[in-house]
Amino acid sequence: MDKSIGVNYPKILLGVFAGVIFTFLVVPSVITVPMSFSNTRFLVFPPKGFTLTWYSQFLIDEEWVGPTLFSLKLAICTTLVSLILGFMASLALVRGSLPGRKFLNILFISPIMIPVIIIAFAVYGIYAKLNLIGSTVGLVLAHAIYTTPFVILVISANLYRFDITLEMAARNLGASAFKTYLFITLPVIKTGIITAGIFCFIMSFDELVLAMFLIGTKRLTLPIKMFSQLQFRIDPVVAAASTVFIMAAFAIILGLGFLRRERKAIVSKEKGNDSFEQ
Amino acid sequence: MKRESIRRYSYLQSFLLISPYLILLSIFYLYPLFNLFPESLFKDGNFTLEHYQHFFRIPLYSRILFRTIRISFMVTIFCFLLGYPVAYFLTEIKSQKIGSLFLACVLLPFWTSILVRTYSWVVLLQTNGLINNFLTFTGLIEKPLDLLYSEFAVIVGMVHVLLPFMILPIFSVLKNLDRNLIRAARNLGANYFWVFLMVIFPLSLPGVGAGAMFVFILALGFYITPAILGGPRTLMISTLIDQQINRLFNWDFAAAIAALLLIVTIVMIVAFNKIVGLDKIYSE
Amino acid sequence: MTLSSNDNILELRSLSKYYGDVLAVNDISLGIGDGEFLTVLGPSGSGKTTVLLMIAGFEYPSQGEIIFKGKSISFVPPDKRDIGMVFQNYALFPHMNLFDNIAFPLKMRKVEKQEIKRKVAEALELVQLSGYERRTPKQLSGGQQQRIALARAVVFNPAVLLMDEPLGALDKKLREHMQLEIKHIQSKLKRTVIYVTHDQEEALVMSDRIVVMNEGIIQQVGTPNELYEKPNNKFVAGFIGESNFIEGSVVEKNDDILTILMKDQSKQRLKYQGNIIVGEVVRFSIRPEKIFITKEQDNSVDFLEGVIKEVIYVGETTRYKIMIGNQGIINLKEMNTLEGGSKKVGEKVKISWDKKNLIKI
Repeated sequence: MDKSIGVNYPKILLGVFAGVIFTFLVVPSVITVPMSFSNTRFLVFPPKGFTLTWYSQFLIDEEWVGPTLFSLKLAICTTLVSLILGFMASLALVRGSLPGRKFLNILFISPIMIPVIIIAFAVYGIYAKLNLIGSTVGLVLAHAIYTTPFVILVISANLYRFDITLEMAARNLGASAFKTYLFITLPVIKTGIITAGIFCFIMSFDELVLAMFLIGTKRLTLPIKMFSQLQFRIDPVVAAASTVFIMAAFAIILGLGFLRRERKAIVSKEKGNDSFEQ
Repeated sequence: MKRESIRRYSYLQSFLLISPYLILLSIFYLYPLFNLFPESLFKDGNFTLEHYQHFFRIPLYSRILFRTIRISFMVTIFCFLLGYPVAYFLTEIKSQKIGSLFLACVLLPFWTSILVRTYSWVVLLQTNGLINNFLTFTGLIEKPLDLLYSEFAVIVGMVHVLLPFMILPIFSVLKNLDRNLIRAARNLGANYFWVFLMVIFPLSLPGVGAGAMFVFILALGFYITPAILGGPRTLMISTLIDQQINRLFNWDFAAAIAALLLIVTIVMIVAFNKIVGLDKIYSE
Repeated sequence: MTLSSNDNILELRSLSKYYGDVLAVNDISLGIGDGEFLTVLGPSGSGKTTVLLMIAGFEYPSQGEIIFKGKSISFVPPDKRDIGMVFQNYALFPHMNLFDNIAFPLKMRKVEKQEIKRKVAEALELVQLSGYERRTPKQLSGGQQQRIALARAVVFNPAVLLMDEPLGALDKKLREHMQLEIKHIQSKLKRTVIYVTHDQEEALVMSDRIVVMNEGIIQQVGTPNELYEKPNNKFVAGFIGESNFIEGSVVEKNDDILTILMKDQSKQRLKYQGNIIVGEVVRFSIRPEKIFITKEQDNSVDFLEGVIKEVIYVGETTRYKIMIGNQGIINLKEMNTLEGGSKKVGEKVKISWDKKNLIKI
């Protein structure tokens, strides 16, 4: 916007206000970190004392390790399924000749908008009849329905902006359709795919309601474990678990940022001004 | 079969590409959802509308329905009031680094668990939690407030979770606003207040609409936050359904409530779509 | 209009293309000789790009055939056609450096490493960008990107090179420079080039032959000179260079002086050399630079009388808009030489021309 001539008060006020809101957004996300080191049995803030017992409990106690590993496994499978299905669907939506595309678009977005508990409940009914309660495959598929819309959103947006003359050029220069996708299309939309994949992973890993309904009695996912703790026995181990969670997410983001900077570095080593932007 | 051109997939190819996901959706999503209706219309094997009547006859349930709508509405309003200035602020930042930093703050919630964040609010709002400690410490109140397990807590928690959904669409629309429109308005004699009122705000409405749609509809069906922060006295529709299924085992009745919520949600989506247009989402 | 000769490397036979109900290309037949620089010229929507896309293989013809080196390639997929193409937006792969970009077609043809290195270096030298291997497309200017796109399209020695308005995004001076460069490269490599553009000047500068298209149909095929001096119809006359059109019916004929009744009911006398019968409705075209303002004293030459309505100074020429009769405007272009200043608005003048320059269309 224009550099306003004169009064800066509105801007300062705006800045302060925004600052407050940012704090509001950020604090609850990170407050569990110091709490996880607290020495007390209850959740307090400010934390008293310093201990790592909660972490060791989280990392060693089978009660916690089991669900964490299962959640990981679940999230990875869901991400794979989601990426493949979502990518194909995006291709069809953006480049295909499909009748009723508008309807399909809404249909594909709807799983996010419909309350999860309805979906969980409804699917539970079906799974009960098909004897799929407790099956990992069943849970993966249910999660996939929930995460694929995001994949489609992200990848469709990428494909939309994709310059199709790049593919035409590749074909013209002798690349078969398959090779064109492999060498040209995928690398160029790589960022989109990775973003979508990470979204999928986090959403599946964090998913509570579907898991609660469909997992049966023999196993737990990490969110279920944390949720039950919150309801019955508020235990600082939950804080430790959350911290690990946050750290992991941070690590991924930093890792990505790192990769981008590395690529920029390689390119700008050559004589040239601007950095390479994907 | 001869194809027309290389650049677009033929009907067959498009169909093949989209069918795996379509099949998955149909079996594991559409069918179960449609199945809710027949499920809710039976009791002990007999066709009946009893469940639906039950729901509307008992004031408790209607209260829960209204509470849900009321809370969702308030959450939407708050998200708008808090979120619009933030979105605006984000567009005013000149430095790219700081801008990305703040944007990351807004996106941070997406990278962290909802469970974790809601749980943090428990810690913040509990009787000897951070907020109460701060208030008593500064002498603003005598004894700790009962903040947790109330409508207030639910609203705060939901606003926290849903705020990014309001900020991002508005930010996106504001960012792509043609600066020349503003310059033209200034040139034609409007001061900054009028420019905002007559140019910037009206043009940002699609973003506001999209954000409001997302927030409201998501708030309606929210489970986790009301479950943790609401306590037994502030039941919302989703927690009600949960209670009916997992504690009272009223399967059919729960199906009826779920079916009702489903209808309301779909109606809302269609209504909003008419006003806002879902195609905007694709320019995210 | 069929044109074929025995060493045509590419032939289009009755080519048509429908997009839904719209007929974009209507029964095009054309033969292109080996080593020829052929331009397909036309306004947007004339179908010229569609023809190119069909030759390249990105669209398949609704009817007709494309014959390349004697074989029909109408439905062969684009990666198997061995025809090079330079795109309007260059289409350089953004995630690869220039070396990989240019090496791409060679890699697809499984050329061995050393050979690839050599050929890429050769190609870069051809476009005068040697040493730029490690740069990325983003780091280049528009003109440089264009040259890399060209290098990439010729490095694998395709027999035919297609170019889709490659200079559209460049500014005027650069464009003129590149026009000549491309022409030089083409004659050096002796490659057949099919060049698509809407810029008629560009076509005149670069081509051996020009195909003028409009609304999916070929309007005329010929050398630049033929098209300019002898346009077949109103479209070609108006599209290539500028034309003045004089329309009316012939009411009198005296040797080579015709009297024409124009739309505004005025009668004009024109010098024309050719067969005309009285009563014929005619349309003539004459180029602005072929008309001259007669000197005051010259009375023996036949002329049109008119009043100068506008004078436009364009550096090396001056243009006049002259009103003849009640409505007709004739455009006249005159080189600015040292002798005599330009005329002024409102002056009455007499204009004439060499009778062989009036063309009946």
